[in-house]
Amino acid sequence: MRYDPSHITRVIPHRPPFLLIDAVESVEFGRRGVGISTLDKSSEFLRDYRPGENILPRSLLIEAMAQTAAFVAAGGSVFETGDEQAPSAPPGVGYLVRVSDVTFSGNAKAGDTVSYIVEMTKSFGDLYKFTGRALVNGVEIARGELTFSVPRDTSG
Amino acid sequence: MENKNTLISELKTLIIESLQLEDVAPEDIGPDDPLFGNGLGLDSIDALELVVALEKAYGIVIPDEDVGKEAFASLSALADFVARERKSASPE
Repeated sequence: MRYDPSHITRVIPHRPPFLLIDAVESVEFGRRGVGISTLDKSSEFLRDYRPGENILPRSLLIEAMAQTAAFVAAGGSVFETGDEQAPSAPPGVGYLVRVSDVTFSGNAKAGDTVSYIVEMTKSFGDLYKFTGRALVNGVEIARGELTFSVPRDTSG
Repeated sequence: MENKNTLISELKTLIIESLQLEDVAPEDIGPDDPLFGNGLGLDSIDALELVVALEKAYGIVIPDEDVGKEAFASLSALADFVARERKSASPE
């Protein structure tokens, strides 16, 4: 199933223009998923970051991974999964508490479709840890590890 | 007891390296000091990293915070936990 912004915004609080993913595919809630974003030249993020170059700020590759991961972590409690073994954070998500081992190796530019492949590697208590990779045309341009804190009292 | 001391020594190295505690030396960690809060001062993010490191190094799983509280009470408690879990995971 392909989850579009109408689904994504039921799970995470981000809204355009700061909702950086157009869809999430290949989702196994609580485990993995792939965020998709096609970069529009008219986006202010591309226009104003380095005028004339039309590239996405590299830090936003991490933000887009984080949004994808947050959807994967919390979406299971909104959309039925049938996988009761998968750890699921409450909807509403929490906050990014750690970003580590980040490497950037390329740029995403206007017109590119970026895939953000995220996989949960561990959950413990209120924390959910993911690995993430950003790819354009199958070529990796960024990777890193992201940890979220999702306080349990947000579930109410 | 010697085995436990060896394990404690290993765990000190694992904690310092996996949590990148650059200002902490192995001798700074007492066997009965609390690892979290007022002891070594680790936090919940460190706990998750430690869970990952222990799983990788010893193949043991700390499934939830309740088990974590017991295992992370002190270095000595962690050594007991690791020894017990290793034994139950691979009976001789």
